[in-house]
Amino acid sequence: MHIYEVIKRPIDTEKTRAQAEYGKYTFEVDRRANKHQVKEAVEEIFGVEVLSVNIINVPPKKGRYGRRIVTRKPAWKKAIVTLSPGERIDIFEGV
Amino acid sequence: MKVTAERLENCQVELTIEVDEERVEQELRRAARRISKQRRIPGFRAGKAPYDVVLRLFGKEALYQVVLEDLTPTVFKEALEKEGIEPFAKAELVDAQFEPMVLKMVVPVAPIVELGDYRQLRLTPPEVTVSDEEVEAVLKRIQTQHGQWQPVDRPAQLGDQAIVDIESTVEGEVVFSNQERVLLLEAESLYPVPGFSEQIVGMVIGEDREFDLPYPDNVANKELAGKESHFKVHLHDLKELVLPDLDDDLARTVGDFETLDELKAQIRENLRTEAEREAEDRFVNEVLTATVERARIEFPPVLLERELDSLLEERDRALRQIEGLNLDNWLQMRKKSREEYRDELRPKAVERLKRGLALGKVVELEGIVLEDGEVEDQIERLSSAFGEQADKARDALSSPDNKRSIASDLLTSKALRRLVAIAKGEVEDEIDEEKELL
Repeated sequence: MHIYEVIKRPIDTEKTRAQAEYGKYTFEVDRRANKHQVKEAVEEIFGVEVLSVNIINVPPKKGRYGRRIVTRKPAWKKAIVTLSPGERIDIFEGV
Repeated sequence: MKVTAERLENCQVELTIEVDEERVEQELRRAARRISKQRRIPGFRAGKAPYDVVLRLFGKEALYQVVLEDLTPTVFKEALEKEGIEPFAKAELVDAQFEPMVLKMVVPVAPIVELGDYRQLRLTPPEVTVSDEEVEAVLKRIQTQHGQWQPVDRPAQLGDQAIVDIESTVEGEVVFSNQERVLLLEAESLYPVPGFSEQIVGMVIGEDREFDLPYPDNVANKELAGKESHFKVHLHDLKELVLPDLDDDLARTVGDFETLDELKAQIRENLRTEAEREAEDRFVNEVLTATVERARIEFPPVLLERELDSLLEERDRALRQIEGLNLDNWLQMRKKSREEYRDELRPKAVERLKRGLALGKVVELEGIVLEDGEVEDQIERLSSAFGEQADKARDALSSPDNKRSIASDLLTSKALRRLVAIAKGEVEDEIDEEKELL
């Protein structure tokens, strides 16, 4: 898998912005990717040194309108990447 | 903040306001915060979205729009203070540019009224005369009113009252027939068709006559318009108007008079008061026109629009006096749009506005004030005209708004009277003397 396929998008929320202060950046990554691949991809793309990667499998979510109509949100994989102290990336500058 | 003010014609000032960049920036951020509070932005609690997220989501245009709305009133106020301009009515934003932020506003300012040498204005009030002919004419009318219809046995003449059967046939069909119809024979009578009366002239009672006459083009029944009709007429009866003699007896029947001369004197007196009132109205009008002509009056366009508004409103109210009418359907009948009518009224509005402004100035220059209780007196006078509902009317008129408008009406009429007095040369230059004393 090519490294540009591994990382799909940065997650831009209040929480991730707060964590970015401490060098922790959050991405949606390909569901097949593992921590090593994420680390490699981030180091390559943003030119930074990655300290550690935490991965969370976000389960699919189902919602209902009324009794019948079921909506689904797919499952996805979230990776929180911790950079070496002093390193930073500008992931929130537009996508 | 840089402000330039340029005076335009007709009492308006154009303000060009350049707002400092830092201030705009500050406002942009404030606007972003507000937007993020009002709109849900995914991933952020209300009000917590950072500036760049809001910017990306809504675009700079939207932000500027908000900034414009926020900033315009305050900046405008500051600019006015800086330039020392008293706005007369609401200003209008004519142009707005961003980066750098430049606002162009047009501010109406107070109208300019310079009456000039209105105190030198001298006009001669028109002479009022009542001629003998006018008195005779009124007398003649009274005579006719008291005349009596009496049967006559002679050929019909114009001025007679005829009782006739009429049958009208158009293209072989009877379109109407009328039995024992009372007709006043007059050359200008339009019933049933013009020229009908003349055809009756010369008929004697019991006679039948047939003749052809066309219906006019503007007849109510459109199918008949312009068509030739065959008329059959039978004369039943004929009466002529017998006038009473012009003598003391007539005077006594008319009213509380002993002799014909007394009646004549009263008629003359009535005519004179009427003519005097008319002449007075005309003279007032003349004086006002002359005053306005001598004056230099400039006003902002908003004033004219307001005048037009009130003209239209008055028109509407007048029309509503008539059942089922209002301005909208009246305009519809005349196939005119409100805008067209508004434009038509424009010259009238200008005239009225100028007069109003001039009179306002007269009030000011002449130091005309209302005495205590004058407004109350006027309310009393106006409401007493309502008879039983006087109390209600008095309450309605005593509202602060109405009181103010009554007060201004009183001032205006006082000013008018003063102007008339000046024009007649009845006012000494007391004001100037007072000034000299001071």
